[in-house]
Amino acid sequence: MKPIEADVCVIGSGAGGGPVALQLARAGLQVVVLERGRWFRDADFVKDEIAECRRGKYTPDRRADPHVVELGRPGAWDAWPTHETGWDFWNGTLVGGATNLMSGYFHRLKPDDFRLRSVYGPIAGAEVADWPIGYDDLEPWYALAEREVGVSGRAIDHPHADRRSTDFPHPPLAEHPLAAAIDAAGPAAGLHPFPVPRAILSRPADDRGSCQYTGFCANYGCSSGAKGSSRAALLRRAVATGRCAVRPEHRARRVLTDAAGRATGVEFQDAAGRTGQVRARAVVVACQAIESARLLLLSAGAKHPNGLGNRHGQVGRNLLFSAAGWGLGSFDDPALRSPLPWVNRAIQDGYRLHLPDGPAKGGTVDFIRPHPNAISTAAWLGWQDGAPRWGADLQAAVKRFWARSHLEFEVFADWTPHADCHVALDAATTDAAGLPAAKVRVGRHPRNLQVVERLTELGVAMLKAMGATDLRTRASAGPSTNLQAGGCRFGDDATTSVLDRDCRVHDADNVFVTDGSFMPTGGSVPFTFTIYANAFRVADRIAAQLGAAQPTSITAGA
Amino acid sequence: MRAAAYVDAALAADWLDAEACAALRAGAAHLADHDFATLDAPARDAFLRPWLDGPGRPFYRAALPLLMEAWLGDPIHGGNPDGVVWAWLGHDPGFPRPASPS
Repeated sequence: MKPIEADVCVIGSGAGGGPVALQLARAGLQVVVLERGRWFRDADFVKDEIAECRRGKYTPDRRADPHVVELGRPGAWDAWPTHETGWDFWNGTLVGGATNLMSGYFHRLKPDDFRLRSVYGPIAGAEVADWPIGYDDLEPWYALAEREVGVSGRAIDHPHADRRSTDFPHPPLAEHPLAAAIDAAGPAAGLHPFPVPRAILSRPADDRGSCQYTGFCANYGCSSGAKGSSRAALLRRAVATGRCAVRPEHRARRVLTDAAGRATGVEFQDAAGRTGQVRARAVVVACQAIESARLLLLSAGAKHPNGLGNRHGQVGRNLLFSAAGWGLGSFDDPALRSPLPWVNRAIQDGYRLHLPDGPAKGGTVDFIRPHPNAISTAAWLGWQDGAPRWGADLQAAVKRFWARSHLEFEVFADWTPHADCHVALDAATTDAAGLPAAKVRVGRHPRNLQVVERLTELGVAMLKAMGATDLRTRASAGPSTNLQAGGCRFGDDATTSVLDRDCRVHDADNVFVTDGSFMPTGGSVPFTFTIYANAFRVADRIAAQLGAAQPTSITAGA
Repeated sequence: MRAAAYVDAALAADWLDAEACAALRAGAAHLADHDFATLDAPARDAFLRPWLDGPGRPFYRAALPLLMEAWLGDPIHGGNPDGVVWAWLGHDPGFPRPASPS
């Protein structure tokens, strides 16, 4: 197969790949995007819980494309292929990646999130580090990402409000009556609820439709184009420039480097199993944190004997997830019943906590309606206090659940960076292409659960202030596998990081990593928005390095 | 709800893991041995309670998700004929709906 020539080869088409492809194509560069999954269009996405949510339609079969998960404690780790467990580290293997399936909570990080070590000091047994950039460096790119992706929201003044240089580009989505109930109950509980920005269009824009309010959003592709996936919001426009080619069902095998250690291109395998190459002046890795670390480790070369960028053994270290908690309360007031799906309220009153051993970083509590998936809800109701519930009892429980109004909350807290949370290669376990699988060790710091428990109390306080009944909560020490970051920290010290402050590999100056891998700490909100914003920032640096025009001024409109 | 046919189809497909298949087959055999189908509702509950709290637990774990799929899934997959359960429940399945199983 003849090599494909390009200026830039982008591996992965999700939140890290889309902004780079769009900006560099706009800057006049020829871009090839390699995506291992299929290319679905808006019209392909349907509301079918069985096919979309229960049969892994958008993720590889773990038997053919395995991960290995290592669970346990220091000195006693047990390794399992994920298909023999409930674990799944794949999150969206399709053009646009997992952004197709996200909920689109677009909170920004806060200034303290960029300097956790300086503000709160070290945590024993943790590897907390400051970022090499600050909030003011990223703020213009958050603003640009809001315009390019299409974010709906409403800024209000509250004690934890972000400093914003621009207003939201789209008005907020229509809200369920529970939103007003939260606003009314907050002050009595000493809480300050605020509107949650969503990467969902509240009105048509740029050939994309507005939200259709079906509620089947998380875990589903969007059929109207309203959700700000990398596919609908960014890649579609990148392709329209005529300078960006998206190649679905192309699996990157390794980044190729020359004798000097610089990238010359990417070796891939297509759906027919044929191997080929993209030859490019720069390579951008954006496969989601676990797979990006794996690809770098698979990309050994003359100057990179232990994997690309791994001279100091940093690739794969300090993998991050999100620490998670959950709660649910129920209401019988008919005024709180509505088919509208969006509650769009959060509290960050616990973003700074005072734990017994001093001040600590807290997190965010988001309020949402339960997911409308009927099968998973009924299967959950099939257990009562751990015992089976069947027949007429189960029918009655399901009927009663549907007849009431419910409010859930989700806690997002920092995943404390930990030496025993990392990615390596498992030589004994290979994928369908014969390449070693990623082995993920999931070591947890006790701080995670401590913080989640405190934040869960705040969620409960809100539900109680609202008069909710039948309260249930769950604080989890386990990671949320759908939220992955870290593994290729950026930093100014090449011995303790993989990337420089522009997300360029320290010892391969034309290789960039633009998914969530760069994050030394993850913040207490979903990562997607920060990945988007940072990828727009890095795209500018790549354009400059390749001598291209500046793609889009960060002060100009979309 | 065509649940029996739904579970049979799942057992014949390739996505169900081996452990769940074995639990379903063993449980079905146990139910047949005790003429479960001929029991009235109170007798069924009296039979199921101790069994599901004990050796029948793996069967319940495997059967519950499949039975809920047959009960509340899109009719194109073989259960919930004409969406009769959705109508009973007042459940809105969203749109667009699938034209064929995929």
